[in-house]
Amino acid sequence: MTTNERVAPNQLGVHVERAKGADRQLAEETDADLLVYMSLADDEPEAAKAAWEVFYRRHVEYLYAVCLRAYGPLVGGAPGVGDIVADAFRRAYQHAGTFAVDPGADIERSRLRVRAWLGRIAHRLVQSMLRRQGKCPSRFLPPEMWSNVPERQAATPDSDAVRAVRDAMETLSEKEQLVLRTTFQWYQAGRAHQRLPNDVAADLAETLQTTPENLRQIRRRALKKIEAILRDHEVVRGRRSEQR
Amino acid sequence: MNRETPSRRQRRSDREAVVIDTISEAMRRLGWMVPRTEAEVLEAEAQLPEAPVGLPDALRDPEAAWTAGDAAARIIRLETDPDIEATLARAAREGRTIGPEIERTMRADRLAAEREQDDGTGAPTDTP
Repeated sequence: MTTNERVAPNQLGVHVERAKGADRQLAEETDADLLVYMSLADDEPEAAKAAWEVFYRRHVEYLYAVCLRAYGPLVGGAPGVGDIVADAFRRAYQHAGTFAVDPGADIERSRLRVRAWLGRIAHRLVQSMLRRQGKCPSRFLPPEMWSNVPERQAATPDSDAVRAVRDAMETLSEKEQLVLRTTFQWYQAGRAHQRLPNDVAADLAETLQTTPENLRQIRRRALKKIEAILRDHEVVRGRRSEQR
Repeated sequence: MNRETPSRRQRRSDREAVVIDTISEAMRRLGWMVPRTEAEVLEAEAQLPEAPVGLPDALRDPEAAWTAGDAAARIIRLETDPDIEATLARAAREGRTIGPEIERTMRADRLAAEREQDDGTGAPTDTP
């Protein structure tokens, strides 16, 4: 920030107007260009920071909304999600130079790419948070924080499978839901075996205050319950074995 | 002792894989996984309500987000009440089931009782 006390009052207005003008100009920049500005932080720190603020304002509501929906129950509601979002944007600033700019992308495509990137940053942050509780100062959240998490925005289920899974999840205990939603943060699409790595299971077990074996048992039990309900709804059959 | 044959293990593994894939896809569509690809972002944007969720105070000002502490320094430990867990386990052993709604009520009642014991008012206290 400029040290305004050194600026004469009649000059301060000029500075403010110049700053507003710069903001207006940046507001018209594409995400790709804003990221370029941010990547030049060493040479142009003020411009980089200004670009970051524009970038932040452009995407913060989106990132907060999707993170609240996805991670609210896992990180203690709005406060935890707020931390993740703020951290994600700071990391975007730090790693702006690593974002692969697609010169052929239009503004729409660029927005989608940037938001996907921010989502991946937030996802890694949450994985780190869920694993690192034993290594960082922690605070206990009473169960009321779970119930105070805002209701998920009603995404209209578009298939029987989605409805069935949602309904099935609601029959699980809170712990089972928590274990599933936590462990599924390590799901990798297309991978044949989705077993949690031992080190991840150990860390998550500590976060959830149980043992790794108990964590796996809770998960297995929850999956069996859901499988039974999905079969009742005729949502799953032996698709993979049918493909062999 | 019955041992699972390899073919049976494979069938179980295949079944579990299908269930896991189904759950994962459903979780994504329900918004329980943050969008990480362009297609997922597009889908999420279509699902978000037209009225914004409303940013918390800490995020409204970019400067506040800029200077906030590291998210990892506020790790959340999600505690469960051992007495309630024991009750749930006993119910399960006896072949009874306690639905999620009842479980939530049990936890809320326990918390209210603890607050009354702590400060005598029963009023909500700040989260530590």
